[in-house]
Amino acid sequence: MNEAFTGTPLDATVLVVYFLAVTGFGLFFGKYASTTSDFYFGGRRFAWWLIAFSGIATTVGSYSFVKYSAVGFSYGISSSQTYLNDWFWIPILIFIWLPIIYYQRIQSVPEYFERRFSAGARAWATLFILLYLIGYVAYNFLTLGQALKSILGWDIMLGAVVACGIVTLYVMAGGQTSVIMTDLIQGITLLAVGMGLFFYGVWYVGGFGDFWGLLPVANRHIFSEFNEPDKFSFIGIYAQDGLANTGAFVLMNQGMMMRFLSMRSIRDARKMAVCWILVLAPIAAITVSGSGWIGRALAESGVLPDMQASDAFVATAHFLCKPGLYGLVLAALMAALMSTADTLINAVSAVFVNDIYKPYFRKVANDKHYLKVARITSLGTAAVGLALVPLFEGKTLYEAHAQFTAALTPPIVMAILMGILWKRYNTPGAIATLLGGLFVMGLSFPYADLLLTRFSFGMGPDSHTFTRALFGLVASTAIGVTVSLMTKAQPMAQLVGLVNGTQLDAMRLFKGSEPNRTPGKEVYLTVRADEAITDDEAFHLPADAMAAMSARESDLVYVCDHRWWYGGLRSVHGHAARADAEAGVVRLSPGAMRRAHFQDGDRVYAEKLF
Amino acid sequence: MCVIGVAAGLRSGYLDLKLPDDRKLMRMVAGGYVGLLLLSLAFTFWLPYVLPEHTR
Repeated sequence: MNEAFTGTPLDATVLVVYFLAVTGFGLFFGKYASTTSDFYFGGRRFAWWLIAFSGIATTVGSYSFVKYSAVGFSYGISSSQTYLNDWFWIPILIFIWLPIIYYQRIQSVPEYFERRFSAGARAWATLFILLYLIGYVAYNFLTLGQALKSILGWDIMLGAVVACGIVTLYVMAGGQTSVIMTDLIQGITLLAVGMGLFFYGVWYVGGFGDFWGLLPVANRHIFSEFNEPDKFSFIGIYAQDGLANTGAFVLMNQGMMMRFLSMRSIRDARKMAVCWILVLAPIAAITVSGSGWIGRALAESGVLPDMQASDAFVATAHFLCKPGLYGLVLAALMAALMSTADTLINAVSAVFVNDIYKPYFRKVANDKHYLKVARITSLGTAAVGLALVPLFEGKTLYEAHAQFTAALTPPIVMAILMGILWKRYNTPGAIATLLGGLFVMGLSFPYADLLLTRFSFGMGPDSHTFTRALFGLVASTAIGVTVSLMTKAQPMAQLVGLVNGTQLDAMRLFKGSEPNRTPGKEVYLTVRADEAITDDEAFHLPADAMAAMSARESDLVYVCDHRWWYGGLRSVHGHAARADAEAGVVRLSPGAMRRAHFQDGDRVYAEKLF
Repeated sequence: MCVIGVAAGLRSGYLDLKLPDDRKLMRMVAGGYVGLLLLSLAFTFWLPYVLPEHTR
């Protein structure tokens, strides 16, 4: 960030108040994390809208405001393509991947590799995903340090330590619940500030007509030209962002996977995915790019001098905002940074405990022990990320990680995609996809001209950053298909619930009996604690409520506080027991009452899941 | 990719258009995609040309 855009003391005060509010908010929700399920999956109880808003804060990454405003300034509204490119992955997400991970209770991406393929495949996936995630933690802390240096004049390392301290504190306290709740606030902050800045800018230049007239015609197209310019062509963005990066976001992003698993049901996960793609992603596109579009309009009108594209976000915000408001804009920038860092720390902790500590160090222990390890790992992840900050400052490691990430993404995406879509795809094929794909992608850096020209659609070397992803996807698929067809198929019994075509089997395994998909209603009741009930998952409902819910004994049931704005924070899952409760009452065990944070006599609603 | 996802859901029986929830979901997805397509068409063939370019 250019030092000419440093904030005033009032802006710094706004930022400090924001930091304190986020920390306090995160720590408050620490009381909701008493098990590893709470720590990693928020107790699997949240409503779709809460996860959608918190998820958008994670999606809007540390670099998004600065990067997409720069792209928007240079190329216009086609900067939104990255966020509008995700739609074609949604059916695969909601009809195949989500039911598999949710109903098979898969807790991490590497765990899928073991369940679908082998322990060896899981080990490779764990190694690659941890290197990928830890690098990103360091990159986020570095970006936070750089941003705080520009805003408050702090040394980069001091800024990274302070930001890391805040994020780690609330992640350790409340795990996923604190991450979701703070990201909800951060998501709302960054959407409100980004949209506010855009609409204020439009008003400042004289309304939508004047704004549109000030943009060059070339900047008014929603897509750039098919194969030009090399650095921002339609096909390049489609291959890199639409195919590879969104595939990675949907299938291999441990943080987003945990977010989907934090929802109270698959029904909510579907709603969240649809809302994200059709509503929040387009809004996020305007949020992160809008300042660049306004900056271009202001520069064209002569109000602002022509500027470096990389300064578009801060220059526009600095010009439009009074002191104090500019601090709020900087807080939104911090929100984007912190909401990505907290998700990454929680994700690394989940992968370490689930895929390294449990299988290799302590297979059997009580949940309290694993919760303690989860908290220590969060601290350790932050410490390692922080230790890497000085190394990332010196470009070499940063570039190595960027190349590693670019090389790694296509093989992992294709291994998961073929794993869920193709029954003939087997363990040798998956390991060959991971290792062979990574090797071939590695070769594409020194031998770019030889390997990437055919995938570059007539564009020059500047397009290789984008078209390398397409090469990687094609090469990884070819390797995986060839090796799978040359080796023995896996028995179908090993694939049940893990590939397309067996989603209903996954539901059966999850429930332990035949799913009941008959549509039913939500029923409002009063909750009572019953000492006589010893099974914490047995919910006793009245017969008329069971009939309205179309529920039978042993069906999975969700009971939740009736106040929607809790977003599922006070709720519990279980199964319908005998329909022997009195009218208007649901009876739960004292243990279930505690888990749900219910008080005797609370108003709740119950719904049958399946 | 989109067709693969929907076809896979239908063939597996997991996406069941006899269920009101699944029908509503498909209507929303299809409607949303048509909306995005119309938006893209408007910002490709019509809106970029409705106003003359400003000259400094």
